Amino acid sequence: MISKQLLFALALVASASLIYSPVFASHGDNTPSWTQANQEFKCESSLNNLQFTGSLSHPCIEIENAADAWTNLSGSSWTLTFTASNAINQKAANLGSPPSTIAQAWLWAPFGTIVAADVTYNTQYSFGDANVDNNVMDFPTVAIHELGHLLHLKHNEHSGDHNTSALRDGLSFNEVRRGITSNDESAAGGIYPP
Amino acid sequence: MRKLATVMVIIAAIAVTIPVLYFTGFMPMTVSSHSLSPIVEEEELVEASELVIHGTITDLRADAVFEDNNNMLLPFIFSTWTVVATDTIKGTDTEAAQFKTIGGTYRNIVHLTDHPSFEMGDEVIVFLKKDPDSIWGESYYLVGSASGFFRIDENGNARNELRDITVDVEEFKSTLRSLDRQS
Repeated sequence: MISKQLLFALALVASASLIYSPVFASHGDNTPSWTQANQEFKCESSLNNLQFTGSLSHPCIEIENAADAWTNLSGSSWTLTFTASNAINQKAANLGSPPSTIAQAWLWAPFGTIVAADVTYNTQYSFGDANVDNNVMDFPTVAIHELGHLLHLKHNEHSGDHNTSALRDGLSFNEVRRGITSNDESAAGGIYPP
Repeated sequence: MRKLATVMVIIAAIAVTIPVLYFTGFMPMTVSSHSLSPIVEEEELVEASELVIHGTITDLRADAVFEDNNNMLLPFIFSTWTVVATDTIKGTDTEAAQFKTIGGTYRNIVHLTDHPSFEMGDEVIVFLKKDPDSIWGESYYLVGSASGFFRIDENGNARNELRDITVDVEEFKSTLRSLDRQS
């Protein structure tokens, strides 16, 4: 009696997982999202390992400025604020010696809802304020770009935004591109409407 | 008493099965990653690369790595691609090489990414290097991420989507060899 029920329980759990398998789940337009548009981030001590020029404040402060840029959009309800407790991690790691990935955002979504995320900045790059410093990756551009991905926004491919949107893929040394364009705001509002 | 024991067995079975399903990749999960790639031109691509080869993608293996994130063990998927070389442009003559990218599918874990991805049979030129202290470990990875590969089309043109450039593949290889000699 017990062994049959044990088998039934195991079969039930295994079957439940297969129902939600990628064979049945859809991707593309059914983009996972957070259950709430109000999210928090925290800064790991690994950010101290970033090569950061003196023109800018500490990476965490610059990340907070970038978070404010996405928070203050009139066309979206999304907010991202700093906290000291468990939240979306902002951290640094060796993503490969340059030229390599400058930064990376990760999101985890079991069953279609984002439950965790983090952003990793590459310790092998020199970051700074490209308006002032030479031979740096502009950190505000990078931070605004990655925090845009936390809303699960994809890269901006509008040709008119090529030189302005922080969300366009690709960045060169000394390039400054900190804008959140109307297309970016519209995309944000599409996922998290005001 | 018997019913209580039965319920406890069922709960225990579920408690054991769910972690097993999770860490073996059978629990469905969507992972997304979005990267920012540097814009890298040919001169820097050649200089930074240890190996540049023209070849065909013939194999893919995806692996899951679980890492701690706020006391949750979350999966990262890495794909290891095999490229069989028809021509080694820089580095030791190679029959085949393997390199890693982020993303892929491991059992029921789907890791969607804007990292470079390939199809079996794709003809490519890839720029590869190693950095053992990085997330790539002892594996080759693409120099400049999305800047570090060109896809060859049926007309013999090599294209990089990130930089939106298309060049004749033989002219391109000649340019790369010339840059390598100069560096």
